Amino acid sequence: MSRRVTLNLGFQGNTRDVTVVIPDDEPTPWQWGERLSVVGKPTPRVDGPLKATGAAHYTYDIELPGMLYGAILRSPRPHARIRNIDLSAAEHLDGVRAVLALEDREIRFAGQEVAAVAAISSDLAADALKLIKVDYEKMPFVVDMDRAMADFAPRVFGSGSNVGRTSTSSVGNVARGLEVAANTIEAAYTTAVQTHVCLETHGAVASFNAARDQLTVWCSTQGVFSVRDDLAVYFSLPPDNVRVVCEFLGGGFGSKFGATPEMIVAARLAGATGVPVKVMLPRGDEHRSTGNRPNSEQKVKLGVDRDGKLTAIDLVQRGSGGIGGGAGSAGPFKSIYRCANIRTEERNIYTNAGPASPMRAPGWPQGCFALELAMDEMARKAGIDRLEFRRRNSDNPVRAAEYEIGARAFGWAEKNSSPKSSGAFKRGVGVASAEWHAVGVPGPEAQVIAHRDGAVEVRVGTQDIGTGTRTILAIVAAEELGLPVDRVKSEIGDTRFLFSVPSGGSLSAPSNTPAVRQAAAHLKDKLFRIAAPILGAEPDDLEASDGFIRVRTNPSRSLAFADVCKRIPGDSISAQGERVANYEGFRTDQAGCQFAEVEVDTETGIVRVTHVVAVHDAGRIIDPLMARSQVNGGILMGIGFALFENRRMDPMLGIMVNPTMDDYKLLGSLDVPRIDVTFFEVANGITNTGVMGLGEVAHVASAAAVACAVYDAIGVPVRSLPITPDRVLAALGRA
Amino acid sequence: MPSPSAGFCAHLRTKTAYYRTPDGERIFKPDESTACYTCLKTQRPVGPDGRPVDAQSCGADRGCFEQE
Repeated sequence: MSRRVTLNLGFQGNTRDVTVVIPDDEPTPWQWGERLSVVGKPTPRVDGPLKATGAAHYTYDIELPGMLYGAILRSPRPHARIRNIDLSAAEHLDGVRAVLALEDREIRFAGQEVAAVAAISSDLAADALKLIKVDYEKMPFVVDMDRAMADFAPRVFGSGSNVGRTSTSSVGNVARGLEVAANTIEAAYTTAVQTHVCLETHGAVASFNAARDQLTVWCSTQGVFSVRDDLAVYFSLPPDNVRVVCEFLGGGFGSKFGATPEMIVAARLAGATGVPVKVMLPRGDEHRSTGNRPNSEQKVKLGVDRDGKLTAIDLVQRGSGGIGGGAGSAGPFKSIYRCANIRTEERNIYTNAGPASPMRAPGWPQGCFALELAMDEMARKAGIDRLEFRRRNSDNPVRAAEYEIGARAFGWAEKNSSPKSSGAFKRGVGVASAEWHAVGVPGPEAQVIAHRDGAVEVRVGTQDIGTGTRTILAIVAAEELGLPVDRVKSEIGDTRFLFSVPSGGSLSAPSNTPAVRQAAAHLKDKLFRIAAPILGAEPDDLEASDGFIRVRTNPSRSLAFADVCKRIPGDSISAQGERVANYEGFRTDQAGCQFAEVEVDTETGIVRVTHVVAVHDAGRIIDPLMARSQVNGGILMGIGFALFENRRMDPMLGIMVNPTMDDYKLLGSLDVPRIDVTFFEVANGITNTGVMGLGEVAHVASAAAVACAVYDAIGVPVRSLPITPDRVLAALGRA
Repeated sequence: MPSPSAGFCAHLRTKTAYYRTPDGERIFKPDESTACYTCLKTQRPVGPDGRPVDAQSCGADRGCFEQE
């Protein structure tokens, strides 16, 4: 059964009534301006003390009795055929319990798995790897995208071309749009390969039972259920015979979705030895083999009319996902700005390099950088203020409001008109727009339990990729039950709990919080039925707030929540909730914008980001502290992409030359600017919580804003990321 | 446009395929230019037959194909 409810949805100064049909047992979605008691209040991370004291157990910390340590031998060659593998010396080393030759006989990148060992210590496992003799038949290789496209280039996949399928999209007539334009620009932009640098490397501990029909895996993953299902298929086990646990996760960013090679290796070694095996990747393997954001070359043409309205957007793009695909970047070109004529063309180029994997807003930071720097180049040519140029070409009312909020917070008008130079140091400002669509998906289920002592527990088979999932689930349950957050404990990260989806695509909060809210509402109904006869009222007449269950029309008639729980006939009482399909609601997209200020030393070419203002909408913000932390992370990762990160490949050897935390440059603490975050609340009514994800939208525009600020500072666009000192000096003609 | 998983190889993996449609089908977006595909058998973007894997090429014409 379902019911119709009319919701007041929207944002400050722009709300409207929307009627939606929702299931009878679904809590009414929170509306615009609805005052809540704990949702929206800054709440410290509930597991913060565990992390700060080292009590939080990550996969790396798992130690089991009799456990062996696994290690993986990787190819030093970028392209080769394995003629023979001699495992015998490794097998005879004292302390080695198992040695596996992996099946693939053709190597396509330096870092590909070749063999694996399990030994009684990690040092012995490393020693054993050195005893494995591999006879490689060298094959020609190519690691450079331009060279890979040449007719005579070595083929990554047999006789197949290195140039993958072309992906095109077109609306209107771009040629005509350029023809009628009052101004046009044309430029090429490039971005580098950015490797995944999760602080916790990929890894797993696997354990089979004696009958080899029950597998338990502790792993660093963004999806305990997706890993469970993959392992069940791979080892031909019923899903119920596989348990996957990830209590704490040290970062994923898209690279830890399903069963990855080291998980399979750990489980195979555990199966071979009959004891648990742990495989945690060393840092170098992480850089080479676990995924990356592909590079890009983006040729952009823009046209504008005399009013500063875009008449044409044209993108011809190519990128390399190494031996994998997924190098597109056209997303921002198709949707951030309004234009009647848009054409995009994307091609993935195969090279003998580590494969791409999803990485925080796949394709969008690259595309946003090229689009936004081109927008600035066009604004300068057309003589229009850059922010005004964006206003004129965006038809999103949420973003329009965010531009104004951001411009005020940043001081755009003053900073944009102030002198750029202070001796060798030049200051500049930039602005860039973001977009995402993190409305969440149905599928997750939640269980909420009230114990006789009044404590409440939330159980969901999700995982926390570091964004504070435990905290926001506890807040939502506390809100529904009228409790302080510290009375609610969240248990996640185990396939023994009810199903949830992987944490990716900014989907965790919008997918899980509605299930928790519904479960808490169901539990509340049960508690009301216990309390009602004592209070001399009907269950429908009760409400829960401030730790009490009381009669709505006579609040003096009340019972403490804990006192109601004492009347639970058993040890606990629980209820389940499910994440139902999205309602139509107000809007399903997210806007967002970021402003950046930089200081460029024109003598050294060093760029320093001094200030970032971010304005984002993510529906209902559950915990501003957690949300701000996510935006901070997105910005910092974006600055790293803009200024530092670059996988360097040796074209002669075909290997990555900077696979360490020393040589692969990441943002450091001294590179962190002042960051001011403002959330623009939009009541969207899409789910019962109206929450949208933030992880990706907060990252989309960061590098672009920095690049635009550098252009403003030095008066010359640096069209390649990272914006390293040598590139700045070259742009200034001082290289 | 998302496509239901019917017709795709049981071992084909990509991020969206870890989510399901309201009908319970794995979600594939063959036209999505940022999708990174892997084969569960190799855990790499290469099939057991040595060819690249993706939603458009992992069809029944490949010897390693297994219907979902």
